[in-house]
Amino acid sequence: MVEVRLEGIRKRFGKTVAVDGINLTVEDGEFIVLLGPSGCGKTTTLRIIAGLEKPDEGRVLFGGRDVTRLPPRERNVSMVFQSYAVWPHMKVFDNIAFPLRIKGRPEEEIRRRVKWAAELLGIDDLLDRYPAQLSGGQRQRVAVARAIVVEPDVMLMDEPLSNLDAVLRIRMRSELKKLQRKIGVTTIYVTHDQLEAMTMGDRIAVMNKGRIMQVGSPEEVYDRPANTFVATFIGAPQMNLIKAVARSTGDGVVLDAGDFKLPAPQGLKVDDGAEVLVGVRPEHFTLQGREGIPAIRGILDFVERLGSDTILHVNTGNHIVVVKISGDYPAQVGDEVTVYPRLEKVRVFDASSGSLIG
Amino acid sequence: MALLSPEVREAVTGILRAAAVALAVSWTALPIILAITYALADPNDYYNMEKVIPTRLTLEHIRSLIALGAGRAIVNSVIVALLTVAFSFALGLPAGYALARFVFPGRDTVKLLLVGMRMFPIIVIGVPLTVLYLKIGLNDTLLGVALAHTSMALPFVVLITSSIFAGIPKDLEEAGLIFGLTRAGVLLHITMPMALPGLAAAAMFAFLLSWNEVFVASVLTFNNRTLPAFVLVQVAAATELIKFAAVIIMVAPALVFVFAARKYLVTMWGITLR
Amino acid sequence: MRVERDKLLPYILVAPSIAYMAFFIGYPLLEGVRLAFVDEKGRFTLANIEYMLYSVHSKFWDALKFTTLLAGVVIPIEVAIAIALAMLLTYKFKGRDLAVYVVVLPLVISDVAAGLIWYSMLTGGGFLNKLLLNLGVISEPVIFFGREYLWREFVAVVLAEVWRSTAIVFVILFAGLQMISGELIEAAEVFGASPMQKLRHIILPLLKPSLQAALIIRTLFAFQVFGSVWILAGRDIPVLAGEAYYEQVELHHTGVAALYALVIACISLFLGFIYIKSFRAKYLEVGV
Repeated sequence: MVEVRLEGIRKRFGKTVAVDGINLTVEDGEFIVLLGPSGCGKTTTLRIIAGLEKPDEGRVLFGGRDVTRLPPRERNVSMVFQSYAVWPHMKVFDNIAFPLRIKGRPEEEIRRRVKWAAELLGIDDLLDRYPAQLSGGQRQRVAVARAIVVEPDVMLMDEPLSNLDAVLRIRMRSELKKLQRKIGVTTIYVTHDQLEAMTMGDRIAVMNKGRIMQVGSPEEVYDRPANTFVATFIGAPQMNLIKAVARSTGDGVVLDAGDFKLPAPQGLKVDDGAEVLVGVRPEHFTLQGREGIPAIRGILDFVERLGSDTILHVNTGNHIVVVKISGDYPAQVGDEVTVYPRLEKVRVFDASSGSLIG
Repeated sequence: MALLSPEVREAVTGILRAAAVALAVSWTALPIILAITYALADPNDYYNMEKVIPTRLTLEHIRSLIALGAGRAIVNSVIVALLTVAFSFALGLPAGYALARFVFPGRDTVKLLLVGMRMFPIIVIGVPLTVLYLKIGLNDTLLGVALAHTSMALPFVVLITSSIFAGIPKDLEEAGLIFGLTRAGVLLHITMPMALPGLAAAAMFAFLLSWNEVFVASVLTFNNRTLPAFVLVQVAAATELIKFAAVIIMVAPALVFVFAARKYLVTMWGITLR
Repeated sequence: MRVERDKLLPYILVAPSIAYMAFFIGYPLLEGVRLAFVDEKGRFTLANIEYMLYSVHSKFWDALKFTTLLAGVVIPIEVAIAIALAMLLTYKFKGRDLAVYVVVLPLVISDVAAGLIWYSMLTGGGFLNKLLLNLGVISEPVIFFGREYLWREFVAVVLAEVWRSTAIVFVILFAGLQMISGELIEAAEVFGASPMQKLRHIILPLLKPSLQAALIIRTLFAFQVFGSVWILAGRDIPVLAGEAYYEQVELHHTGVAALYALVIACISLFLGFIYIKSFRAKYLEVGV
């Protein structure tokens, strides 16, 4: 198990830049998730780490060893592919044994380790079958067993759950995470599913257009998104971004959204009259007002009743503010509602650059 | 190899690979190019043993070939090939469409039957057909050759067109029905325009099958020789340069085909041969 | 009424093709048997088969020998080249498509033309002799053609056939290789396989159905070989189809020619039968 370091990785295919200068250090034994929309370069980054692609610029270091130009077989990595890539002409046993056989391990050790991996994934009764006889979930387990059987330095996973049905996907999330904890292998996991990223990653690297937007723990990425891309990509429904102007007053800075005014978070440094985006997550509103908390009033435009939650679209005149309320809320479209933001959760972004400023 | 640095290894594999590609391309392309060049060679250059590549070129040998009767043979070949395309499409297109668009009992049997028939050697039918054609007056006729060639091209046409139709999403046809077209209208306005390039490639393929066929054409004709039959019988006795000239005429349509149908080439043969 | 018609429609569309094929395969087969075993007076006869097998004028056994020998020499070479080519051209590189077009070019060139092309390469004043003379490798032209140089003629035929029909094998393997998911092969790379191990343990086994198909189809074609041999060697190297042609066109022995055709048909039917039997790889059948 090693630390993985990417230094200034760049990769283009023809005219499109897939990866545009990535620096990232994955700690030894860490489970890191590369999260981003399709086409953001996360899979290319993973393939560069695997050695399936060579970067145009930059270096890949495994525990300080430069592996940038080495073929995959000289890296001691393993991978779970999106399609599982379980070889159809080999029985399950031979699929899992393949990495060991290639390394020329003795037959006795192969049998022992395959058994160990298969038991860990609960597929030890399937070893004699061909992949065509397995369900999607079982094939996925074979792919994972094959990936852990060699004790790789780095385990790479490319959207391994995206081809499973919803129930199985949720179960495998926790199973994979537990498995990784147990064997402690450095793991890099690619997904476009933010829930997967939040539940599995020790840290998340959010990517967009070939760049890393933010690296941090799930809490950090959720709580203090580095910019508006991360803010809106993580969390559902999306974080509200309300256009406002910062005004210095005697009591500090006030964010003037026209329809309502909010006090700026402490220590926010902006020029008077600067344009900002005020970010408030839909779940960070309450219906009960308190002293000193500004009210946001508006007409109810639309209501989504999800059972456990109710999502209100509040039209304040110039803005639509989306509010998530726990439980049912007996309001109808057209009603006037008043909501109160939790001020400590309010974030402020620079309107032109989109970066978090407070 | 393992001792070399990764950069050197990469460079070496790159060079080896490029060399192998160059070798493969020359192995196939050079004989054609050289045969064509020799076919155009001025006799003085050809009989000069020091001239490996002739530089003075002439159309003389092609003219001599035509004088021997190749012009008529070319016309015959074109007629036979066009008739073959017409017959095999008239029969095969509906079948290809049915196999692609309808699910009916026996469909797999029909497909398997066609795959089997495709393997049936056309050489086998030549001799018995001479007897039949004599009886019904089709001996030594272009129509007779075309009918025989159709039996060779038909299974290919059905299988290729069926895969072309299968490649057109059924949704698009159904959308046409929803928005007010009749079944015939859908076929005319949606399916056919989308299938056309593929069908054109398939037609060229059928054309070439006929154009290249020599055994049946030689057995079934005497005066009305197609080009390959003409070459096999007449040109064998001609001078070397006239033999080379025959290459140009025989190969030209094939080269045009490869260029025009290049997009479909590999997939089409994947279908037809597998 | 409408439902009835809709149910019948596919059969109506398919029927003409099937009927046409049935006639053009069925009739010649029956007529071929009649020609081969019935004389002009309508009596059963073994004269044709006796002539074919035993007459000093018949070259049946030579033809069978050379056809098989040619197949035995040409096909392994072609399969080896085709596998190498398919592997080589699977890698994406600039100009790959062009390379593929060029490599499959011989596929659309007739056997007669291929024979003539190699004649122009190998004849006394042909390209190869001129090239080697001028390079000083040889001092006088190497003669390839003529009955006294039978084995050189054979080499010429092998060259022409390998040149012409490697493409058939290549196209089948190449198409088969394209259908193998890239991740299956990448997985082997990631799990430590060297290029040779990748070929042996992953690619070739997965390519097995295509390889089988290519082998059988190519063998089928090999028993129909005619044009290139006839151009390059005439009857010096007799082949089955060539003898059928000779007996029919030169000697007007229609019965004997029909018999040759039946021999080719039987070999083809046998190979075709194997082909359809072994159509699918074992692992694909399991559980399907």
